Amino acid sequence: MLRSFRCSLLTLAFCVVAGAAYAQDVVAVRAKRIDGEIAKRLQEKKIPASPLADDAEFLRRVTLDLTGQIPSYERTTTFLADRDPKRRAKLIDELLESPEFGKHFAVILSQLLLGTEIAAPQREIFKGWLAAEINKGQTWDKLVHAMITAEGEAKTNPAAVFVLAQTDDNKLMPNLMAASTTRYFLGVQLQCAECHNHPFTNWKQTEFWGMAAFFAKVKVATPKKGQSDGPVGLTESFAATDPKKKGPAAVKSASITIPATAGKSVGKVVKAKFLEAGEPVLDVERPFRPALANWVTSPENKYFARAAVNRLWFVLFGRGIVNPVDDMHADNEPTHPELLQALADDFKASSFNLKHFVRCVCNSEAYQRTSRPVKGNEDDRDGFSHMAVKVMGPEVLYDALTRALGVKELNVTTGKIATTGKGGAAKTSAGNNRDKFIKFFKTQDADSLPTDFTHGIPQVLNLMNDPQFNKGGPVVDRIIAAKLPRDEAVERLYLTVLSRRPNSDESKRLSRYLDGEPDPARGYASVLWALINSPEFILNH
Amino acid sequence: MHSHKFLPTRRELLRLSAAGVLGVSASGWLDRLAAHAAEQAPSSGARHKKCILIWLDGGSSHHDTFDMKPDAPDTIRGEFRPVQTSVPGLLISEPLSRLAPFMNRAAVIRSMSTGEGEHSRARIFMHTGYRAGVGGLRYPTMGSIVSNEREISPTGMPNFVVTGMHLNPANHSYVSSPGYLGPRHQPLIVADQDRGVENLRSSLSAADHGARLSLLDDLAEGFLRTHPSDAATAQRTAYQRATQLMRSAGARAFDLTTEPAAIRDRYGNHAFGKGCLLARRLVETGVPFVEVYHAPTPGGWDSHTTERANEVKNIAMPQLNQGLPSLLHDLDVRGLLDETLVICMGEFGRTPNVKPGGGRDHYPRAWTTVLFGGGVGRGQIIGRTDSRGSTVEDRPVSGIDFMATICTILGIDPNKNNHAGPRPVRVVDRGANPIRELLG
Repeated sequence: MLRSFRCSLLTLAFCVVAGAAYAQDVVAVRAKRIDGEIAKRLQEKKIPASPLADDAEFLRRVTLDLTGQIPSYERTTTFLADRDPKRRAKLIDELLESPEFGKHFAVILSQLLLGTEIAAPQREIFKGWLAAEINKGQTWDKLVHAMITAEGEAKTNPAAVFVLAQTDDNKLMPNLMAASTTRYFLGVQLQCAECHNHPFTNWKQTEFWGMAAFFAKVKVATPKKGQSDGPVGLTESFAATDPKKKGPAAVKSASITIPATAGKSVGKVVKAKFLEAGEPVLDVERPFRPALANWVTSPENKYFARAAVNRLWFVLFGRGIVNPVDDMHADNEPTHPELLQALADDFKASSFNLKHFVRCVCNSEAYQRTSRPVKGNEDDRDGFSHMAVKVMGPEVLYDALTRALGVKELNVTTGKIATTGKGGAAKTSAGNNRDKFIKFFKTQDADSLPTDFTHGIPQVLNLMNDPQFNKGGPVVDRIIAAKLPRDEAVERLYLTVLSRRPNSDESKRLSRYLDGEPDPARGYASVLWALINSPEFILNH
Repeated sequence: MHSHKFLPTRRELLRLSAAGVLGVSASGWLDRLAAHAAEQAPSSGARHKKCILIWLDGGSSHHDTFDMKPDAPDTIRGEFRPVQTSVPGLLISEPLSRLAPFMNRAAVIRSMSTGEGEHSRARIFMHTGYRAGVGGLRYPTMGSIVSNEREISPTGMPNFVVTGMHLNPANHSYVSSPGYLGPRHQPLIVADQDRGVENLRSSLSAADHGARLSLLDDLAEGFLRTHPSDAATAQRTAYQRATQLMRSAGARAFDLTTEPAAIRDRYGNHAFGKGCLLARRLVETGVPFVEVYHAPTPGGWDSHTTERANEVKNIAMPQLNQGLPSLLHDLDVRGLLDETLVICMGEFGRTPNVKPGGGRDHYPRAWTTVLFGGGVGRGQIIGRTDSRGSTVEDRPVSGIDFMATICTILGIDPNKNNHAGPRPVRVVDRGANPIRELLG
């Protein structure tokens, strides 16, 4: 009994090790495939590739990209001292296994999938769910299936928040559900076909409403409590013909009527139909969405895997292989068609495994190249000859600032905005410092690129002039307490804020500045201020 | 999203770099770029008309303001008496009597007919000219449309400012949404005029701040040289603009305490009066679009009940009667009224019948907007409603007609295409008829 138990444990351990070894081989093969395709294009265009980033640049980039945080001072110094030839692959594995990976990608995906209308508590529930699912390795097809078909309330079924977020003025909108489903899960911008035929493709207005018809029966399940909180639950599990349960009156078949807001063809009845595919037979008494979810997430769906890998590539590289990232159609050629196909095929072969995809990409030379252009590739924007310079989102910026200053949280007094509900007294908006900061620094929208720097004057004034950013902070206090010599102090500030050591020009310039400053604490506070206000800090390069 | 209209910085940087401006350290790249931008200031910007939108949130009654029906029965006429104005025959409501002298500088459009009777949808429609949810796009609000057409000011002043209390982006994002034009056309929001633009001054001495900026310049310059990217140049441009604004004489416009107390009192010691005063000060410095948001109570102008109607009578109307005439007077004496269009409107009108319990409900079928100055207001009355104020009898003006009129007055072609990603989108939707009789 005991022996056999030990035996099976051993067998299990062996399997895990063998699995990991196999996976590493696979990763190396996939990364090589990526680099081969990119090199092929660069050679065709006679564009040189920049060399690999040094360890400091790579550490900062991959930590920001995978966990939404700058590396800690301690992690930076140990990584820069690490001589293991596999240290980069190991770092990627470490970051993928940290809980911050799921959290960070949940932030990115929820911004995309939920838009701006959903109430904060529901958004938080959704983010928490998505983070946990990603961290435990849930596959993309299962996540999407859950989101499209979810019934009930956020509290009991967080996946339902995706559909619940598709509202206009607190009303659930089948057209928005269809537009978000096609745009974010299929990488197709069908929404302009809501009102007229697509200008560049064969998609007709009926193609859009055929997709919307799958959501025609979705209705609010739980009456809303607050005036402005929107619906908290949804369902389509009701008998359309049951006179006691009032569904949307028009649902007598699996179809939808083009409403008055939709420009042309108002009043036309359109049957549920998959994009560029067939009309399924649907039972009007049963939910329509499972049929749609099955079709969307099927390995045979020609859009699903391509949309996902293109989106993930866009997040990591700052631009997609097809651009705009969610506007895939026949006339919008990928820059690297074979690469896109290979990535999509591999994503399918891995059962839509998100971590596997990210691991393969991050192990490629393309991802690990420096963001510094070299002679001959300065103007290359779509060949991936050097890494794009991306911006930090507000969540990432908040966390990076707290780490750079060495504080637990920032003190956010700015951007306080009085709110009012109809019939309610004016009140100051609630929320903790992080939420307030994010609200104030959120200047990107759904169409922004990862490379668009969008802060305006108020955000810049805040970073320059809010006293908490120009008075030093715990990181300076510790330097003073430890009586570090000036060179070490400056180096520590650089490693803490920029995850690298200063070069000789910088050291000289800082020496000159600090010579003119009799109070070292004030001098280091100035250096800290200059570093967190520098483009190098706020950008992910 | 890709036309970095206000970021010619990559090219500009190369030019500056070639001219030897970059790479010189010590005394500040920010300063030099700022000075350079000032030299290059487009003179054409000065010719453009400016616009102040006075937004009466909730929807004001046309019967109780600018389309009075004094001969109608009590239940339609309402409680207010008309007063004569500087335009013979043009009557306005007594609570707004201080506007009477300015009506010869106004064009009263009494034939608005807009079809959106729900607050949120109507606000979006009247701010953007597009109906909510159409085409799966978010459309830019009026101020963002104007911002997109104007050069970024070399003085560091923004192109679009929104001010007023009760600005809640979650519920009222329409006020400030640049829609598909992107975040660079977002307004600078001054929610509380007493706080002005926050962090406009450093807590350090000017010398210390200057020394730090110079340090930052030198460090940043190294990064820009090795990483010549759109994001890095945009970041530097934002810092340059913020630094300019800190030093800009124009930024004093945000500080209302520099205004004599007597003048502040004339505008009124309330958010709306302060908003009007701020708007005047901003327009004077060249800001092309300011929206002043008027909702002094949670209900704003939304007078459904006796209680609400009393709030409108006792709070909203007296504030409007104080702030707006003060603004018009000052613009006039400063010679700015002809080049500044002042729009006064809400999202719809109110029902002809006063409800038995008091108050009026939403009414988009026939209602009134008023334009002052802008080179168009000469005491005209556009269109006409019937004796009850319930239907438009002459010259109906739709939402897109109105939007096309405003754009044309401000020198913006309503037929122009903007770009939402790859997709061309008209500034104003197809089929609009601008009000020709206003456009001369």
